[in-house]
Amino acid sequence: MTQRPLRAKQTQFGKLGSKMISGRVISGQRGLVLLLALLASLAVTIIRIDASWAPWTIWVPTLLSTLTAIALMMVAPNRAATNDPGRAWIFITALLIVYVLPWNIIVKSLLTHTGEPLELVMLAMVQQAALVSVTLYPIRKAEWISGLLSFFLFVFCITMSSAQLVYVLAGLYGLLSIWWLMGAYWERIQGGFVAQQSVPVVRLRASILISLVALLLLLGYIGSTRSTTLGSLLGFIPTSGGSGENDESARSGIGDGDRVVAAQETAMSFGPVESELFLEDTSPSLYDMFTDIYGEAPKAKKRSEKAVSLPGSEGPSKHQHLSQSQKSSREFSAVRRAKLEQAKKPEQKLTSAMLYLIGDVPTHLVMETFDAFDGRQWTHQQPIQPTALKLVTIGNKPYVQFSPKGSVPFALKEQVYGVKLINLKSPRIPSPHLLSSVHIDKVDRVDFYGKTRDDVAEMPEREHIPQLTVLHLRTFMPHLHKLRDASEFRRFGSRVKLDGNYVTSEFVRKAQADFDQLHPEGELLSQPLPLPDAVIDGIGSDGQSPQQDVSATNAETAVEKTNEANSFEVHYQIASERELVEKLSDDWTSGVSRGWGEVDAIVSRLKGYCQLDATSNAPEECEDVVQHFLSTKRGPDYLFATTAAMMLRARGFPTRLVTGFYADPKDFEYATGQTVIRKDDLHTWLQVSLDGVHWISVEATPGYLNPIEDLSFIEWAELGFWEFCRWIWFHPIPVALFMAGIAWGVWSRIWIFETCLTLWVAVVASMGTLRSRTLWLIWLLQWRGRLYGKPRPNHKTLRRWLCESSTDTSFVRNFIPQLERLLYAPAQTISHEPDQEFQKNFRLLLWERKLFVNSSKQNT
Amino acid sequence: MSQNGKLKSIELLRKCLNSTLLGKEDVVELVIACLLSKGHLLFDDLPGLGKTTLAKALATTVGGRFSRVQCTPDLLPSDITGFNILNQKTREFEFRPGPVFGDVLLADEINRATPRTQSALFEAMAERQVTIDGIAHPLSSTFMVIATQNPVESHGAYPLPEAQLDRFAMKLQIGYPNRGSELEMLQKNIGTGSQGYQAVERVFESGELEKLQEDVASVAVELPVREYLVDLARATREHRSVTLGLSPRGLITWQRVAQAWAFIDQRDYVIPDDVQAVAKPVLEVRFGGSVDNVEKVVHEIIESVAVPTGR
Repeated sequence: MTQRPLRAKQTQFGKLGSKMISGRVISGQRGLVLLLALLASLAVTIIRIDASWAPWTIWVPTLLSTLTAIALMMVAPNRAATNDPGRAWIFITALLIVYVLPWNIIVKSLLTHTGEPLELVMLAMVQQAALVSVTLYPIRKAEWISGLLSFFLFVFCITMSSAQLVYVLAGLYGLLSIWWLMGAYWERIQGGFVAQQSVPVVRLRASILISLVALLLLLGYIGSTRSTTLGSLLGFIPTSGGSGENDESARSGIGDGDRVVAAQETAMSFGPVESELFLEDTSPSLYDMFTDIYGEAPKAKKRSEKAVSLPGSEGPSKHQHLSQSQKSSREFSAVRRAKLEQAKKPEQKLTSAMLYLIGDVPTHLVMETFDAFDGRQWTHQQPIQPTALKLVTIGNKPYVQFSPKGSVPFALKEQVYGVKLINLKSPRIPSPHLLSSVHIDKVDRVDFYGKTRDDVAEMPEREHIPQLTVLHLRTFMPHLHKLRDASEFRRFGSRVKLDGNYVTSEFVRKAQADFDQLHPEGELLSQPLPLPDAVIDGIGSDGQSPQQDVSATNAETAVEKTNEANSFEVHYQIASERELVEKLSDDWTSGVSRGWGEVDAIVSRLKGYCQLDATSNAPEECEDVVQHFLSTKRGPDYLFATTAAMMLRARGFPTRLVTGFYADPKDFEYATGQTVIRKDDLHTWLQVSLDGVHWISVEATPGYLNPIEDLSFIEWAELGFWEFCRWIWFHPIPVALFMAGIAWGVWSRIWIFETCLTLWVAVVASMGTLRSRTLWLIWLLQWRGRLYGKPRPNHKTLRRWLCESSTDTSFVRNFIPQLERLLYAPAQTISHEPDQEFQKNFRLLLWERKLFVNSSKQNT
Repeated sequence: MSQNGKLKSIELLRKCLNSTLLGKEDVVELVIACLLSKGHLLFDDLPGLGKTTLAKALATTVGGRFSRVQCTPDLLPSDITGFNILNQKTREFEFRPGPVFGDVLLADEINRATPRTQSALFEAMAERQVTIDGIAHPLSSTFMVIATQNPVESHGAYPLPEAQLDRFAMKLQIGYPNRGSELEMLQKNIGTGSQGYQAVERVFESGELEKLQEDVASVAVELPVREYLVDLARATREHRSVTLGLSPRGLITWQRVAQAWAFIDQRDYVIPDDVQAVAKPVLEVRFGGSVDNVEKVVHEIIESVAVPTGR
């Protein structure tokens, strides 16, 4: 009561005056606090954008939430100071603070697949809290909290960032905060002598405080424990890797665990940095790696009747005189011995990087391809057409062109990758599919490059590409979405220029025939189909008109057929139980129009049909691994790829098996924008061709993502929508159950909630003192009132509320004095043994659900 | 006196007062609460509504000495408190007690007395004693002031100072009776002659009321309810329309009246309902004339404080 006397003596006028004075100070200070919070918000946003790959996912919601907070401040000033600010107001302010977390999850899982590290998300929440505190202005402490939070944010930002703008902002913040402190000081002096403003206090419930403390203790316990069950939650605590946990989206930190590899800061730097790591030669050959990852292939039994013929000779070629490592008449066995899983100590699990990739992930880096399959083994038989390489200059750098721009009609966009070789020893260039051109600094000679027999770019006449070489790769990004449409598929796949000649592959001819059969008088065929610009350019240079070319297609068909009849044979062979494979592939593609959609359908169905199991190998004597795999429905990635390849062949798509590296988005490091590729990223997938020249990588193993395709937003949404529909279609029972569950939950949400509460109170009320049980009962009654639209206003006494809103008033009237006695009478006067009538009434009230129901219905 | 006896006498008191003031059961209930809580009462109403009648009836039922002062501007403080007079025989000063030395003092139209006279009542009301020429004279232990004031004729009136208002426990308006009560009143009046009002009988024997007042004082007020009271008091001080919030003395009075209210309801502990029930008359007298719509303000104050329900 000490602060009252001054005020008591004030006259009406004096009081008004003091309010005016303090009011002026308040509005100025409030703007200043807001400015400070906005500055801190800006600094945090800069830091977050700095670490992000999709800045719009940060600045758009930040801007929106900031504007909302300011709007809230203008629309509903002083709202927080009232006793009942309203549910909507509380909801919006709470949402403003916590939205960052769910938003990050949405961004991570749906939009960009690259989220933010948890510490930045939490920082963003602090930033929002600082902003929202300003809207709570009339609570004087909120202003100080806001100031304190923005100070913390700036300290954090300065220590974290080296962006100049952040330092400028910090300087500005310093100046303004001094001004603010001065203002606060003056206000205090004025306030002390002129008017004692009463400060509304936000009541913190003891239950909230206790649960908060309990939560912190729990988190602390989880953070300190190493047990396996709770350890799974360990990543929830923001770490920088020091605890052994790392967030895939985390920036660099202390002791990055398995990511400690030299020269990781920038893969483009050249030179043996911290060279000890590289002096020891642990680099394995591809063959070793396969054995390590997949297990050893059993020695082939000698069978004269199944001898694999050697590839036909194409005259003397310099490629044949080269070092041992690149002679890839090797095979890839789909039958392997089970790998012995040795218990390893954690430090032995540390593997060094094979290579670094800069560029979009997921990416499949091709190392070897195989086209012929005999039921057990993949080999390479069909040699590729030699391509003439050309030196071009892109951005003042000499690039060796493997495939000129526009030569792939369904892939016009180029993508750029950087590859730095660390421990990989191979003359082959690990490159994504549809390679366009390659550049190595200061290498401007075409004869440094070539292609292996199995269609992989290489550096011939070398045992391996020197370590730490940085390769700049340009590849085409396939626009597969158009190929999903049958008519577009026909158009794009129709004709391809190859070595100056136009060829139409057997596969495409088949597709065309199918299409023509389906649409004998279709509009599309009544007029010549336009060719992509790039192809038209090519035609122009050859002195042929596009019109003639198209009309001549049919005439040329016979000639082309003879040229190519054999070229794809090997890519169509199905070395498996043909009927089974054909039946399954027909089943899985029923209802899908001819085109790339078939590839999608088969691959996605296979991913659901079988389970990835690296230890489930085919038995050694197995002659048909595909059949075996389809019957056991378990197997490693190469069985998925093999089976998908066979099934696609059954649908008429030429396919081949590819081994190489999978650049996993999980290994992407945000700080440097690069992906580490280790030995265990070795992977097997398949490639599908449309024209026999260009091969598109297709991922058939569950858990691995397809390479990025060129998609517009609408195409992406369309694809996602159909994928979603398809998923629902193929999971009718769980979806129906889920929907039914949701519907039931929504329909009887009140019932469910009330039942939970009642059960809870029934459990709690079976323990504790009479008083505590009564308190729980009253708590339950209040909840019921809320649920049935008869909430007890805070100021209404229990008796008045129950008498006004319950249906059975006489019962309440009789029972309520007993409740009141327990609540308000001195403890020593209450008997601890309840009489029978009380217990009966207690039970009645506990299980009586209709106390508020009828009255609300009557009212309505 | 047994518990039953207490209840009986309260019931009798209620009956007597109700028969005097027809159709005003709620007012009567508050008057009883005020009496039991040892508070002083201020009636603020138009003339002829039965203020004086009720006061007289109350004095009669309580069974003490009843004294009455009709306040006018020329009334002197000594007319109320009494004075020393020189006894010619003994040649000594002799104390002549004034009307305050009764058990119930009816100060009619108190706002017509001068401030000087009004303030003479200060000490008597608060400390239950008067000091004349340096000698303190204790008053009756059940001393109660029932003051009336007329809000309409403000000409030549001296509004009660806030300090004095705080010494009253509550302020009541009687208001016009309803039609049925008026009909009954007229019927009762026929044949009563010059007396004008119905005679009531004495309810309490000597010392009975004192005992009851002691019982009321020992009604339990547990911590949640005390906190509720304090929160309400703070809310009155923070309300924008209230110049002068509730004083600590007022808060104590409020608790005492709530105790009386609980006692009348046959409880030995106070519940928040009691506090709310007596809020208006208790606060009204303290807000004075500065608050225009007391009922609304009291309602707002009650609405702004959460009732303790344990969880």
